[in-house]
Amino acid sequence: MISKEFHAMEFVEFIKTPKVDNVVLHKPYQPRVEGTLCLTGHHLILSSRKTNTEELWLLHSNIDAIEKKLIGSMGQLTIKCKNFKVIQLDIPNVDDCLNVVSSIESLSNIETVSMMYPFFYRPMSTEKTEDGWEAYIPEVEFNKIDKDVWRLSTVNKSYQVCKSYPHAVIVPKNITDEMLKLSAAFRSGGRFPVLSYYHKSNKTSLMRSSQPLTGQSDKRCKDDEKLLNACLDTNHRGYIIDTRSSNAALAARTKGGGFESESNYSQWRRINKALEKVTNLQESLSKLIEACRDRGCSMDKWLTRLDSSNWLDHVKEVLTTACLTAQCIDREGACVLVHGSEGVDSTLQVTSLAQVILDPDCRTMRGFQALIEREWIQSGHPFTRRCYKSAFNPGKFKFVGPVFLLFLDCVHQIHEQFPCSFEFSEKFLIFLFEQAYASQYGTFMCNNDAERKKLHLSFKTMSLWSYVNRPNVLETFLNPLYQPNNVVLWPSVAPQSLTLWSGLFQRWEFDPRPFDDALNEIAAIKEQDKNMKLHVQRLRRELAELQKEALQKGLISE
Amino acid sequence: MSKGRFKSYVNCGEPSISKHAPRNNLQQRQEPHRTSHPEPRLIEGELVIGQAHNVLKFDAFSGLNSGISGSLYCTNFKISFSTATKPSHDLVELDHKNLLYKENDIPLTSVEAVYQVSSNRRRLLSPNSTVSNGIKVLEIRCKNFKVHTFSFKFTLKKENKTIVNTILHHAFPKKLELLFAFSFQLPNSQALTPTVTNPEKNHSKSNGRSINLTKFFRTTSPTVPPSPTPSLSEERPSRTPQYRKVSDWEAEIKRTNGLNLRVTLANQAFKICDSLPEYFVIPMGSKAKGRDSLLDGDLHTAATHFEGGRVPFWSWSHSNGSMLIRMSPLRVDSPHLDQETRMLKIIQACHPYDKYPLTLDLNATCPSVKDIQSSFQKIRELCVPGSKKTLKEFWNTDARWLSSVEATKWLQYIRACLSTAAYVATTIAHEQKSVVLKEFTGRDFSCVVSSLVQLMLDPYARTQMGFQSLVQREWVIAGHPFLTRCGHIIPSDGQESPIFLLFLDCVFQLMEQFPDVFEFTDTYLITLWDSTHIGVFGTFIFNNEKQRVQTCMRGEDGKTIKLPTVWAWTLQYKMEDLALFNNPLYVAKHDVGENFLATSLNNSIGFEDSMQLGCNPGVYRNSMHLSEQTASMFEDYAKMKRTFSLQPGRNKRTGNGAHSSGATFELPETEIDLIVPRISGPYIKLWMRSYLRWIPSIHIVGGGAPTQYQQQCKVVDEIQQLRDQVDQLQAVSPSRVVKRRSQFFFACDADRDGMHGADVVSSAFPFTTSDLSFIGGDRRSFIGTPLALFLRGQSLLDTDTSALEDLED
Repeated sequence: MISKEFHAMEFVEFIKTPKVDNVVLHKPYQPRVEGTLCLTGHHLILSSRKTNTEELWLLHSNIDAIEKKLIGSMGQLTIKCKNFKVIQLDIPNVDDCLNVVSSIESLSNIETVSMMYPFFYRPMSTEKTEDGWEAYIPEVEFNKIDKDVWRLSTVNKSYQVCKSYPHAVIVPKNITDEMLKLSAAFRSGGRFPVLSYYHKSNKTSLMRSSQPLTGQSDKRCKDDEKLLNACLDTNHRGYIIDTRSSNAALAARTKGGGFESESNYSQWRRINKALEKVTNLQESLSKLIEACRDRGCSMDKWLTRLDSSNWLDHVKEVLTTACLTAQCIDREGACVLVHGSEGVDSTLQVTSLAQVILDPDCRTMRGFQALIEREWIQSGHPFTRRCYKSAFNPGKFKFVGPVFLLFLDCVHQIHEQFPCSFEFSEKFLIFLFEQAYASQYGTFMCNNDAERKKLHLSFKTMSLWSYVNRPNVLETFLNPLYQPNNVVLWPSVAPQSLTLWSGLFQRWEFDPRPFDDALNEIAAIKEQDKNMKLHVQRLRRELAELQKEALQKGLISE
Repeated sequence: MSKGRFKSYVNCGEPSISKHAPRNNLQQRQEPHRTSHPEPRLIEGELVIGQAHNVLKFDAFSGLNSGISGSLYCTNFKISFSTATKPSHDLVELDHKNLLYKENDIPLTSVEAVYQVSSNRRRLLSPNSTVSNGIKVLEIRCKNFKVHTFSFKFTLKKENKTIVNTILHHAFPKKLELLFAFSFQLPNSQALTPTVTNPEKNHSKSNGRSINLTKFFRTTSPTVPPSPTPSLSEERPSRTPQYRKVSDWEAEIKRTNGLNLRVTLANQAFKICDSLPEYFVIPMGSKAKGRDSLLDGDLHTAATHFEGGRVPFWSWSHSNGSMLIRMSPLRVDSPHLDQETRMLKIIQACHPYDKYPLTLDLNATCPSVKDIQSSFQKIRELCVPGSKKTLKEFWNTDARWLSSVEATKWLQYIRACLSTAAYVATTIAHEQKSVVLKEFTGRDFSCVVSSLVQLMLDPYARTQMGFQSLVQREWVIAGHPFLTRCGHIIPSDGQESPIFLLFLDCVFQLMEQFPDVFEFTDTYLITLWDSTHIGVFGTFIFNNEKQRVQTCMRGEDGKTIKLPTVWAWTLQYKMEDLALFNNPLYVAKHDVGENFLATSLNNSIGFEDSMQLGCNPGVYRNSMHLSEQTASMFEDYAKMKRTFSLQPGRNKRTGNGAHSSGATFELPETEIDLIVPRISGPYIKLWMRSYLRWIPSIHIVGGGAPTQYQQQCKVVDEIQQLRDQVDQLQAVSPSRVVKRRSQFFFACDADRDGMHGADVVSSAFPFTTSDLSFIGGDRRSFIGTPLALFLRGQSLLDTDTSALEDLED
């Protein structure tokens, strides 16, 4: 499963004790395992050298927090992973224990990107696969769009105009690169309005950007206004959905930011839909996981604790905003521009979810991959920063927050409500969550396209999509109940309709087997059906031959 | 941060966004006044008592600005709204398909409360009172949370006053004899004998939606064509036993292989106990062991010492010989404290290993009847817009939905019942002990617990027939006071309490956790709950057998009154609609073949975890150590199962016709039947489909659990059809192609436009039809055959959307 780790030498300085014998591992819902603990540059490995025993093979980058407890001469390590799994290691010797802790702490906090595991991972499989790095580049995605109205601009090809945009973006056809540069100068981080999604059925577009830098003096940029109005060519109305409260938008002016004034953007109407800030999401997630993990928690307080984490409120708000966006586009036929302040967090949640609602293609396996690639990775969501730590580090890092996870949860809610409308299963969403936080693939590395280019990720690491799209892997992520349909999905956002994603948040708290059974059963039905059809075919052939024979021998007449 | 109160995005905050034309005011769907008024649909024995015309009926929660016009009638059975206006959407509602009443009808016994609504105020109208002036808006709330609102704005004042007073007078009878059940005339004696929805039966696909019962009964002739595949139903009795005959009890003893039991006639003419049936089963001791045996004479004596005369009586026997017994405690003033011990010793003597039984005091482990009622009222407040008038106000209270649900304690009470039952079930199965359920009245929680225990242990109880037999035996016959608990007559003296609903909710929780072990769906459970409020069935209108026998003897001309039983489902629905009760996953597991047995085994081995997790430590003694013993315990259990034969009717299910795959349909002897639910926090859920089904804006149009149900039905149906094709091709004369009827509501080859008009279902299917206008313009049919593409195994890896176009209309 894993290649040899040739690079061990580079990490020697961090590894104080490479090997400890007689370590006991406790994992949720599995028998304890005793074996030898090995520390390598990227993994924590526990091997019992017995067959049929599940071993531990844990990426250091997956470790969120580590706690030690010394009991007599024994050390007890509690390792909390970014995917909310918690394991316990009993180490017979205190010195070994302390060494292991400090090694893990340094190894799991290495910040040099080029020392990360994806740079060292070489898949064993020699299977010829398509290159995931090439699968969803802007040029490919642009092919799906109406070229009479839109064009692919390479104004950002050297990442000079906007650091967080990809090398090519889709903009209205009649807007020149010069105008784009001027608009970029007027937008926070240079994120000028670009096309996020084109709704073919009524030729309506969804745009995204960052906040305009109006400041307190109400600066304006004519080219930015032209750029936006160019989207309204056929539809003379548009909505700007601001993911901040109106107070927050007002306050942003004092720091040089701001919002589109009604006088300068007269064809647009602004709607404020306050979505939670990154740091608050982090706190909410920590509370949620704490509640989920608390087995001593009186069962009669469970729902109250769940409520007070506010996580489902955040889910509701993001979903509602996305539904609103979709409603403007599909029902009102009006163009929508979405932005918050920086345009790399809540903005992306809204634009990507709106597409899941509107575009049946986004509910397919490849369509969803394209969506993640387009709306999150290439659009500059800072994955490295946001996913640096997970739920067990509340409040420590201001730049950390489960923005992408919240998006996945929202997709999961729609998935729950429309169980037959997605080609992929819940398992794929959970897989993406884990990969975003710790991975052997390069796809979720770095904070934007520019950083990725600089490190030559597409040459030096393997794309997650290359792995996912292998037929035998892809199959494991499929939803057996999928039935393609072309309708817009209108999820219910009532609090009664939103449920805790227990498959993810409580994955390690309960034995998942019974839930898997249903899926297995469906898979079995599928297998049976296949066999049955083959059988019918065979019998039909046989019958036809027999009839022919009988006819020849004159036993029956035509 | 924003503690945003919930707003549905649909009519979202920014008024400029919503271009939806509000549905016109009041008159819109109303046709010009006509001279003739729409007539009510009446069933046999039903009489119109009062009527009012030009009445408006509002859409649920529409904020009193959208409605249809018609006439309101009050009969001796129901409050009926008749309209000439055709509904705007395809009706697939189950209420619409009910043969006794329609979606705009309210059986009198289902009325919970009547309110007068005037500007901003809502006043409860007390039962049997009279209003002297006409009222403008009348709101009728039903016991199943449905709300009907009528406006008399255009009604003659005289009519208005009369109809309101008639409703107030007739919806709250004071005497049992006033219930419609006693006026209802069965069109055909067949209805008196319960039938089961036998999936193999010749379904009649009559299109008529009329209420012509006679016609309907003729179509359900019991001719059962030979079915091409083996089915559980073939060996089942086709009628739910009523347990009013000795033979029913004997059959049940035989079915469970109960040892040392006998039917006693001691309670004939209710001599020893008012609330027990005339015949019941008692452990008779064991003479072989030279022990005490229980004679009828002993029962007479014992009855004077037990509370309410409820002596220990038999509920069920496990294949290991352990029994489930129910009884009341000794009377406080009883001088003979040894009576109970003596009974327990007799139960011990009946046990094959002579084990002393475990006695469980349900008054200590379960909530009280009053607790349940007050909790239920809170659930109702949450799920029915209480004092709020519009949906918007309803939402405003839901900023903390989950906490509010928790505060009702409803889920906590469900947990208590399930965990008590799980404890009893594991004691019987693993410790191989008999268990005696002791409850003061012996008629409430002992019904809940004993039924749940059997559902956990006995696969037969999880079939529809078995479940009906269970409810009949443990509830109806055992004297659960349905009349009082359902509040059919007033005053109920504060004894009204939805104990039976609590039980149904517990069953729903089991279904959620074990989706393929029940033959029936939660649609069945919800329909059963609704049926308790119809007031037509003898099943749910008496407090005990004695009351039933005495009331029914007082018929006119000295004749005995015959009342229909709820188990005669064909009284309420056509066969094709009753197919909604069939669970495709169960069929897949039991009828489709051997492939599924492996997974079903895994399914039942879940109990170790529930033992470790979140179970009440007071209940699960030594629970922490159980997991290590589990493996060996299972081996023992499997061995035990081999020594004791499986229940008849369950173990021999061989396929007719040799399948080339060599598949036979015998259950492996080691099949483990015990299901133990998990009861910790997240596993116990609010039964949304039951309690929130009337609120349109919560519904997920084109989504929710029903879409899954629809798919599952179609897949299983498709498999069965394929198997038929295989069979037919293998038959001697393959030219004769007999197409079998689907046993499911959704058949795999159903016409795409649908004979049910239900190509788009919502999460509240089949109880309400969500307003499909929301997805209006682009409402596209879903593709005909479900999963067809997936099953062909070709499409998903290379999804070719152009290929799909062909399938759409």
